[in-house]
Amino acid sequence: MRCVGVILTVLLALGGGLFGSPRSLLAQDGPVRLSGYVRSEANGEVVRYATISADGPECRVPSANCRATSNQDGFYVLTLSRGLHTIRVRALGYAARVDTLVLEGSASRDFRLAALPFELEEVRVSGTRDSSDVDPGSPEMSTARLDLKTVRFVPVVLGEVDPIRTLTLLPGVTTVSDFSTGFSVRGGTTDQNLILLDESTIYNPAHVFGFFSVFNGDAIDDVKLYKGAIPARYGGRLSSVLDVRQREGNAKQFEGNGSVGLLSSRLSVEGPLPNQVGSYLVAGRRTYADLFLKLSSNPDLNQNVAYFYDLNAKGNVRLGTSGTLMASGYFGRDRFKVADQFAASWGNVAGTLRWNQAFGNRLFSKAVLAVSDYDYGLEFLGFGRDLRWTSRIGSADFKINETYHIGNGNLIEFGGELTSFDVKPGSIRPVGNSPVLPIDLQQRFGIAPALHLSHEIELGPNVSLRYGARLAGFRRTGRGTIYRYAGAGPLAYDPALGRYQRGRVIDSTVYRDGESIASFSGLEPRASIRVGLSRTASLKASYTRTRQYLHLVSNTSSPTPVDIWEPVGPYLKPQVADQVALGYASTWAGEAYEFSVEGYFKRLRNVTDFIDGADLALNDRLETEMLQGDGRAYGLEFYARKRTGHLTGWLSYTLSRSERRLRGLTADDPGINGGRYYASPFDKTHDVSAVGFLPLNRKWTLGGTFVLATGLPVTYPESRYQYNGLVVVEYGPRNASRLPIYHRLDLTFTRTSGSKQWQFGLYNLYNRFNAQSISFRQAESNPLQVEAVQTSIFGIVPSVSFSFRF
Amino acid sequence: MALAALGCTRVVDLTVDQGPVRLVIEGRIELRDNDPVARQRIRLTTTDAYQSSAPPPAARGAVVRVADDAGRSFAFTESATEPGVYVRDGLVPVIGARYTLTIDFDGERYEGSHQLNAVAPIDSLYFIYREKGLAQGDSGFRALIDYADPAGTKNYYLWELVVDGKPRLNTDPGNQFRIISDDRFYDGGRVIGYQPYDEEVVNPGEQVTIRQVALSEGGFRYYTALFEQTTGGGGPFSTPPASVRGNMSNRTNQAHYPLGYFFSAQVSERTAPVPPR
Repeated sequence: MRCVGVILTVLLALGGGLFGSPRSLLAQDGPVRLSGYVRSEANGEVVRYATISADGPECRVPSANCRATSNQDGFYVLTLSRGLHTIRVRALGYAARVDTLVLEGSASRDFRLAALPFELEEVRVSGTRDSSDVDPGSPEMSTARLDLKTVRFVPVVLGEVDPIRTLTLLPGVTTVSDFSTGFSVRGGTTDQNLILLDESTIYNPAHVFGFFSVFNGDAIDDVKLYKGAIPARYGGRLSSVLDVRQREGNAKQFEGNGSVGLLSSRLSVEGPLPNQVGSYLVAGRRTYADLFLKLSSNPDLNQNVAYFYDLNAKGNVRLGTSGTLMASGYFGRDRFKVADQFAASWGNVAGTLRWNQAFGNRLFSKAVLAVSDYDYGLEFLGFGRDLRWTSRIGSADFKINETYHIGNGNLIEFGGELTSFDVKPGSIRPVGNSPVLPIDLQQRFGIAPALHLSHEIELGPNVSLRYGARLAGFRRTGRGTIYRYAGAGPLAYDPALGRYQRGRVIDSTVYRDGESIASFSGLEPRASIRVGLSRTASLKASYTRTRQYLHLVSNTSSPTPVDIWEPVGPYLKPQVADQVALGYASTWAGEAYEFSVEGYFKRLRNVTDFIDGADLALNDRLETEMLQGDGRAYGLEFYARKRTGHLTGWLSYTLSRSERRLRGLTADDPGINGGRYYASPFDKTHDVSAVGFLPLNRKWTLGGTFVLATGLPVTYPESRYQYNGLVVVEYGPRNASRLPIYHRLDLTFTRTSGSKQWQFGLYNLYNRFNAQSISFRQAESNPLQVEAVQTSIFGIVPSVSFSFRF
Repeated sequence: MALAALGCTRVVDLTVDQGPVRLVIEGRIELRDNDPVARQRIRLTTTDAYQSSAPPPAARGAVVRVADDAGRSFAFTESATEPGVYVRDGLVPVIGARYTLTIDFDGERYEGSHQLNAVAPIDSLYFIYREKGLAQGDSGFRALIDYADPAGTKNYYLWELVVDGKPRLNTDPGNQFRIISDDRFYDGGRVIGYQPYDEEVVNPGEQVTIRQVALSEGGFRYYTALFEQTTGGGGPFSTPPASVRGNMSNRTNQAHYPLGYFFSAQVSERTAPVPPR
């Protein structure tokens, strides 16, 4: 706990300096600050990323900057001269608001925006600004933001609104399988995405083995993905940050939403807390496929269990005019049971307690305590050795984040974070009268401190700059036993047999509780710059370094619920990525059209892959199964959007390459694929998505999605042989061939009237048999022959859902 | 887990590049608890075009020898009736001995060795009748065994099912977890009513043999990889395709590696007729 002390001391020192300074700056004639929250008039919820601009006399100078953006908690600060100002506040999904006020000194002021009427939403949908990439005035790049109102009109499989699947329609984000909500950002692996729900880590965002994400569309209101130029306040994952916020709830009146779909029903209620001190939201979702199974008279079916549920809850209490206390929780669980043979259950629990406070109109302060837990349990029954297998990862994270406004377009952000991890990779217990012995793999413990500092500044009207760094460390601590291996280490290459052999354990070291086993730390510089070319166009460039101290041990093409997280240690080194990106963004015809293009290049170090035939289940010495190497990824991303008019929507195209190279441990062994670069499993050369919305009349809106992409890499055989009656294929170079081209058209018809909405969907309209994989098996017709089997997940899938408000 | 059953599949035609022809070794020196002087067999074949539907080409004319660590050497001769099968009588293996197989074929020398491990006996073989179930196949009899795992040693098992003299191997997804086993979850335990071929129906009147074979750790890993690559592939949770490499090496040209595995093992066999229902 020494680290906490250090961070707090540093923060207090910085904070003291900052708290002291405002008074001295408040000289009579100097500028004053206007600060406060932007909120929704209808329900009092904060409005994130609203633009607040002023037009006082000093703002008429061409170089003046009288503009601010509310942060992710809805808070803004604007520095202005004294006197009369017209303030204009705009935000996505809301009518613009213009107020006039006289500033005599620094003041707090909340702005309330009227949401655009529900009935008009389908017309408005694409009038919202979803991608700050395209905002030529913002120094931010490589980000994608989803508005949940838009997400609801995008066709989805089986009618379940799913923000993660919608994200994959944006450039640089690809699905790893139709089956999976696992996603790859700019060629990264699925475990390189930091997924935050109200600032609490979600370790496995999947329901139903990956079919659906844990994000209930009723409970969240903001989804922002950072593909690059990741702000220094985020760390711990290599490729991206997905920052998801739960809704705060209606602070004005009680409100309810419900929906009934083929697969699940959802219900949410929200309203003000007593005495108008704040608001709450409670949302739930449950699937009910198993309830139909129960109706079956077949005893094999009616004993089966298959469902998941979600429960989201959030409460806000206002502290005076400038503070908020927020508590947020998520509980989700999947349960499966097949007869009396097999049972599986897994779920996430995430909780956040956050205190926001604005001080002196210029310091926005945040303290967050976030806890996360993911666990799974499996039962294998009825085969003479019945057992239960459990595993979990838990973390607790305390962070402080301060944003200090020096002036408009000039702010400093800094803070610190301390996370403790506790991984129980696996435990086995006998069930009933079973000879199985209890086994507990050793627990893994770690502590990760981090400090970050960044400065964002506008240098004249055309150049803005954000630079900073994150200093992040990880300490693997005891209790734990670390093994020492003979010779070269945990893995040794046998040249005669042409394969890797697990090293022989010759010694082990036992570490006490809390004792340091291995420590890592490193600086992660981050910088981005915007150069305005005109009022509507700009060039942007960024550099980001990220480090990752937790690896998901997963050797399957999509992540599974039973994958485990392995922290770095004496053998497994942290992954490091460096990314540079260059972009151009512009708007045309009064922001009716947006266009952006970005190129990126990434170099990755210590990415992991597994040796052939790796045995990962309940393995206490994973270092004997893994190799670490390099990766590189580069690409060009194009994005064009039409925001107004009858037909709206966007078109995205990504041209990219993602490769890995795992060289051997020494000069004499080949690594994977002979030590040469090979396509990573998520490499797609071309990836095109088109999304369109077309109001058909006052009630009906048509939403459509078309996707066209290069098939994923696949390894083909070069011969076949027989062993013990099995036909076995001998494979050629890894990932050297491709699956057939992927394409798919989906449509959704939405009928909205009053507070009721019907949605009819057709996923994969022309029933394309899209290959997810090609595998090889013994042909049933001739056991001497191998057949290539192409697997696809969905044919045409119709869906219907009904939602209502009360 | 039965996840691979999700989704829809279809068989497609592929054109692939042809790789080099490799020697495939299927060899096991066996010490059978009911027939210790049984004839030893080693089968040699080669790889073939991926599209081929012919039986694997026999590797004929090889010189095959097995030596033990006590200095004994046994030459194998090619069977007159089964091309590519090399046999030897009078090789009575010893528990704990290490056997080395040397093959000279097509101008190259192949070599590999394996220690013969003991296996616990099958205490009993019996049958139960089971109704059709969702995850358990058709109605019918299944073979069950009891055995006691020796405590304090690492033991690895392979079970083979022979019905009326014909070997059966079920490679349905999930089944590979039953055909081989590692005792780390039940070291020293007594296993009752184990069904290694849980999905294979046996019928009244059939003679059923279960063979319990001692594997080494390397052999267990070989079978694990073999089953991983040949069963249940293609789902979103399949492991990456990879060449299944064994314990034989090419001493003349390392890059021209052989496939297959050379085992030596004690085998416990039990045979019983399936009773009438």
